[in-house]
Amino acid sequence: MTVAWGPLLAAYVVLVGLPTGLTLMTWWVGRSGASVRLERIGAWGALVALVAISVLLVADLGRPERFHLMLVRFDNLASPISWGAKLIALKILLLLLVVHAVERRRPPDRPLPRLTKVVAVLLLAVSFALALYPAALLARSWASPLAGGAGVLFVLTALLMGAAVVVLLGGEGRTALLGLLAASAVALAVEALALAGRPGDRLLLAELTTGGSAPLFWGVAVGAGLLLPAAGLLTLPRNRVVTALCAVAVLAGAAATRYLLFAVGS
Amino acid sequence: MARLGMLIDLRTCIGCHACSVACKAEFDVPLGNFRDTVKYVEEGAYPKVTRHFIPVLCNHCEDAPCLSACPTGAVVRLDDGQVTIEDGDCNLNRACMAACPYDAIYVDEDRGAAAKCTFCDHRTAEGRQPACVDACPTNCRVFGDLDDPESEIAVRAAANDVTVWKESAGTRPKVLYVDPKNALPLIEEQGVQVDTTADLSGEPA
Repeated sequence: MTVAWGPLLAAYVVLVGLPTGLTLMTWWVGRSGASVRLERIGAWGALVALVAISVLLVADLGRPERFHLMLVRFDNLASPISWGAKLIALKILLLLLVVHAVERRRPPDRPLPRLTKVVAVLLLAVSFALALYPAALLARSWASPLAGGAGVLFVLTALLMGAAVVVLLGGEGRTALLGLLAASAVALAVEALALAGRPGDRLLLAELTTGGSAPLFWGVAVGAGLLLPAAGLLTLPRNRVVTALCAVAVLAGAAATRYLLFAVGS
Repeated sequence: MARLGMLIDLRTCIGCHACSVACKAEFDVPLGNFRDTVKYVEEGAYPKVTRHFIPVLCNHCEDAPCLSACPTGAVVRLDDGQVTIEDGDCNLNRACMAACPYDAIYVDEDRGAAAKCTFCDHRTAEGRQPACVDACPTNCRVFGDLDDPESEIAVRAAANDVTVWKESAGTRPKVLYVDPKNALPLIEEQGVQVDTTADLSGEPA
C-alpha cells in the first residue's frame, strides 16, 4: 500500500503539540495571577511555532498555491483536514489578538481587558481541539492505525511539551510536569491494554514493544521521556540544571510518542 | 438515476492486461501508477498450485472514505454514483489517498492532482463502455446499472454468488466479483497501486 503522508506530515504531527501545549500550559501555570513574562513568551512562542508549522503543512501540499481551498471550502465538513486547517487559521488569528493586547497594555502588569479574556478563553477551546485533532486526522488513514484511539495521548503529549517549555522558561511547571508524567504513563498502559486484544492490534503492539520501533519506544518515549524525568524531578526537586534536563528529556519523549503514533503500522 | 457498477467474473479473466493497457492509453496514466491493473496471485504448493488473475480498480464505494476525507471538495460523486476527482479543486493534500483502503488513488504529477479510475465517465456519458470493458477479450467485465433488473450486470449478479474486495472495510463497493475459488482474500493486504520499489531503473549499469 502507498504511504500517502511522509516526513513533513510526521513533523507536523510531532510539532503541533508544542504551540497547543504552550497555550494551555501558560494559561494553567499563570491562571492565579499571571506571570507577565510567561504570558508574553507563551503567546509569542505559540504564534511563531504555529505559523512555522503552517508553513510546513502548506509545503507538504502537492499544490501549495491552492492551500486556501481548505480554508474557504465548507462543503465537506466530514473531512478532518477541513476542520484542522480552519482551526489552525482561527488559532493564529486569536493569538495575533492576544499578542496585540499583551504588547499594547501599559503598564505591562496591568490585567488584560475583558474582551481579551474572552479571546483567551476561545483560544483555550481551539487549542484543546487542536490537541485532539491529530487523532481524528490519522484515524482516517489506513497507514496510521495506532493513532485512531489515541486522542488522550495526543492531548497529554501536547501538555507535556507545553509544560516542559514553561519549565525551561523558568516558570513553575514542575508539579504540572509530574502530574502529566503520571497521567501519560497510565494512558500508555491503557493504550497497550487496548491493543492487546485483536490479532491485528497485537501485531502493532509487538512492533512497538519488541519490533523495529522498540528502541524508540522504550529508549526515548518511556525511558527518557517518562522514567528519567520523573526520577529527576522527584529526587532533585531544587536543582535547576536537573529540572532543565528533565524538561528537555520530556520534550524528546513526547515527540517520540507522537511520532510513533503516526508511524507504527504504516 | 442509475447506480453504475462493474461485475468482474474471475472464472474468465486470463490475466492478459488488456484492461490495464487500455486504461493507461485512455488516460495517459504515468509510469508506476495504475487506475486499473491485474494482480497475479499464486496459491498452494507444488504440485497443487493455482494462479489467480484478479483485476482491481477503484471500487466507487457507496460509502467512499476518499469522499469524506477530502477537505476541498475535489472528490465528488456524480449523479450515476461514480466517484471522481475534480482536478481544479485538488491541492494534493493526499487525504483521499490515506483514506482509501484499496490504494486506488495516486498523485498524477503531470496533472498536478490526485487521480483514479472514473469508470470512464467521459465515455459512459456518451453511451459507450469503459475502456477496460471494451478491451477485455473474454468479457469478464460487465459494466452497467446495478439498479436496473434487466441490465446484464444485474442479471449476472443475481445469477451468481458475488462478493467484494475487502468487505471488512465496510465501504460497500460497487465493483462486484464472481470468485468461486475465493481468491480475493489473497490480496486483502494489497492495493491497486503496484509496488515498484524493486524495479530496476532501466539505466545501463
